[in-house]
Amino acid sequence: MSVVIQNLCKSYDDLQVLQNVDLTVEEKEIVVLMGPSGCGKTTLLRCLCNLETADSGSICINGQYLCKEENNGILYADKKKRQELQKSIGLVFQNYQLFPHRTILRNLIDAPLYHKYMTKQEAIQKAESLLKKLQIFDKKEEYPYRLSGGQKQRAAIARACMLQPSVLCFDEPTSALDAQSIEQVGSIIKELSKDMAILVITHDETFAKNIGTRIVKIKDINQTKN
Amino acid sequence: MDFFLQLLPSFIEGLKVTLFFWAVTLVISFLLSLPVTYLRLSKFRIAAYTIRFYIYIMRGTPLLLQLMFFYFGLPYIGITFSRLQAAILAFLFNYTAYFAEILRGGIQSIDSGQKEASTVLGYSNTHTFLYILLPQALKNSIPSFINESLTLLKDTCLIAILGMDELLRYAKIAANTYATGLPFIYVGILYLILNVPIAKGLSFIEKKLNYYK
Repeated sequence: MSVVIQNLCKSYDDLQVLQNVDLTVEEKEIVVLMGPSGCGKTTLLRCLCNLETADSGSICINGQYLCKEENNGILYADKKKRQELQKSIGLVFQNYQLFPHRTILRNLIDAPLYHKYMTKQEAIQKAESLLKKLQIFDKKEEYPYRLSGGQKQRAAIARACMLQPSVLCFDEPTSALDAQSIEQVGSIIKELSKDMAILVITHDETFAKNIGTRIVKIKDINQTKN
Repeated sequence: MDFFLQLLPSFIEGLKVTLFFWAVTLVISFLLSLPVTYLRLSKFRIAAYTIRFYIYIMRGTPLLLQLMFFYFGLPYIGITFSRLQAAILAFLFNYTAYFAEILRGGIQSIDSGQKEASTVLGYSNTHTFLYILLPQALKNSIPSFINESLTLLKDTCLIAILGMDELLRYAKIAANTYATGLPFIYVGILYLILNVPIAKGLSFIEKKLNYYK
């Protein structure tokens, strides 16, 4: 199993956002997490991507614990292991978060070069093949501000794929896209799911039905009273 | 005009000192402000609070007083500096604090998602600071840096308090010698003329950094 989340709890001060959340995402599966705004979807995703610290519960990625319950508390993996696990999870942000001062190609190749995953030549080759696949090869030397919303998103997907994650998460991937781009993103996600597990957060029901192999309503897994 | 030409050699001597202080402070303070900003924003509370206290002192007291402290105050506890050393140290301490605050503002104005994207890509904090946040912060901060550099140019006249011969001090000597206020007007014009290439030069850097939005 790619991702196993058990009994995950998270609160901000007095506000309990996640309460005993259980969720699994298998390899080659597209799990779509749905629910209204403020119900904890993004928080769950952020805990999984190590952008938030959970209060209790466990997150296991490819058999390795990012955090686990211990003595009624939570024990996070050490920094080195967390960084290692981080590479197994990719995230495509809602507003893409490409680095504006880097060209699209640099946005893609920097992470694998930083982690010494591949040589510069290999990284460029891989980036170019991904950009071709996502039909934005001609934008490789452009800066992000020159791309449309759909192109930026494809660039962000390509960047997330460069580290060959086993789980790829999407935060509201359709929120800023037109119908044609939504369709394109849907087929890209389906294509990607052949090699990895996908977790998508959205409140676009049509999109969810179109791409999801499993649709999970957050209210069904989150026991918070909020 | 003859009077101006007569004073010009001494003004050039003063100008050398003024520009030397301006350039040394600008470059070294800028470089020092990078680690100071990093520590100011770091999660190491002791370092962050120490830097905050340092910045509070530097921003909360006049530069003139800091110059006097380094030259006249420190010898009381057995630390003695030459005029030049004391002046440079005071300027570096003061301007590093201001530059660090400008950079902090520049960094904090960047979308927090940029840092999160770096975290997700597995970058270390130092890598994120140097290669993701800093280049964007510099672009955001250039107008403030231009302002501060022009202020620095004018602040250099404060070293006269330590008896150092900078531009304004030469004007003062000339005014006393010839019993006229004209040297002050000449020096004022020289400062105004100096502002132009400095502002233009920094605007050029600003345009160079404007290759993205």
